[in-house]
Amino acid sequence: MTPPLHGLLLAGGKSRRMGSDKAELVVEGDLSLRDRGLQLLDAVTTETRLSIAQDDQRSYQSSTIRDLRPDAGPLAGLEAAFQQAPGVAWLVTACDLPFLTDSVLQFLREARDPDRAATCFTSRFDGKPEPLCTIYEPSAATTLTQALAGKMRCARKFLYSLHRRDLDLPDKSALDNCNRPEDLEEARLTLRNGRTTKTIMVEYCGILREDTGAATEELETTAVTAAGLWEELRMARNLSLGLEAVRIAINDEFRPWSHPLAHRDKLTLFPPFAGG
Amino acid sequence: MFRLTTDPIDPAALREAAGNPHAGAVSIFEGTVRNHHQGREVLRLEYEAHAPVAEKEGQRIVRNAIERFGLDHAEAVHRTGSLEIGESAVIVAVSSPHRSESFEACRFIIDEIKHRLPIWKKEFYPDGSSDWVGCEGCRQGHQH
Repeated sequence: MTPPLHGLLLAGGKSRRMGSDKAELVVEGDLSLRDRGLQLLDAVTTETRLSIAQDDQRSYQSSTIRDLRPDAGPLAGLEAAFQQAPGVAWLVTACDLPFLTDSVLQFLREARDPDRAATCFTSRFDGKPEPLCTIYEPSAATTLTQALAGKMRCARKFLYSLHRRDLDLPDKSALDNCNRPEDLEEARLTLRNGRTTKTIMVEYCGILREDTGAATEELETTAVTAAGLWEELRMARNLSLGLEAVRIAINDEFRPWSHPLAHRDKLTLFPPFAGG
Repeated sequence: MFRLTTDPIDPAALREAAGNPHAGAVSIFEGTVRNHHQGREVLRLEYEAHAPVAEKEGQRIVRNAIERFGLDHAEAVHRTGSLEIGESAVIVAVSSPHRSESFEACRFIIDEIKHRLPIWKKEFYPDGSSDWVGCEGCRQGHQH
């Protein structure tokens, strides 16, 4: 018999890069990312729980599952859920997915393969499985216990280790997430104005040019801001720096990451300066 | 004014241009290539600049210094390309009616050049390896 499917919304993250609790943010409409995430899961599962950090003292209207250990990331949430309801499969999502829709979750539920440990989507950026919009079957519980005992904390690595069914995203941007204020701005502008394809000339300097092996490239993107395009490039080009270390110019003027991109703009990526 | 050059910088020419009957002080700062960095022996350097942005921003720095310190003259030149030990990578030359403004302005300009200009430096070591200065700690630890 197929195990029942419950929903688990992960809201125990520290939102360090965002600087404020991501779950409380409103990207579009009236609902916070937390309430929006719970509503999406409610529509496709029989029961939904909010996964919270071990030391979270706030009170919530929805039912919560508290982590059993501190600082172990998303895997701790899944561990606590398996412990509370053995024999149940969990559709786990993160709350920082403003483009996730109920039709994407329905697609996942319909494609579910209960004979494998997980059913998941692959990333539009690097083609690798995405751990935070995934159905984890009860058969994944033992592997999880072993992984945590072996000090594994990376949800992606855990998912790689499982026998999976990998799916292509029916809507390729559905799992674009928001880690920084710049990503939030990208999401808001996209949801408000829609996605249009534009051609951007990207120019790489210093160590970034060595990473990519080319000084410039022309590419098509639907990213709205420079931060959105960076997110696409970072993994696709295996860039060795983080957004925090890089400054940018658009058409040879310094700009913030949240600056919108226009068709045929030139975006230059600057590693940390070392003149003098 | 500010400019980038691939040729060796001539300090005498910069000193000559800074001279001014109104000025009572000329200060010159030369940044030179040293043979060590963070305890490691360095054989040579390569400087790379993003010329359009570096030249525009460099002009802003020099103009800003002239206004801020009431200078009679200010000029800065930065090298690009391969540099040997002892060569000048950057020279700043300013003149002003009194000494204190000329010292301060010289320091201001070199500090702003370091912080604001898209210029990068690659060091070459005796073991054949090389490294981009300032990027050592930026490598991302979490790769998939």
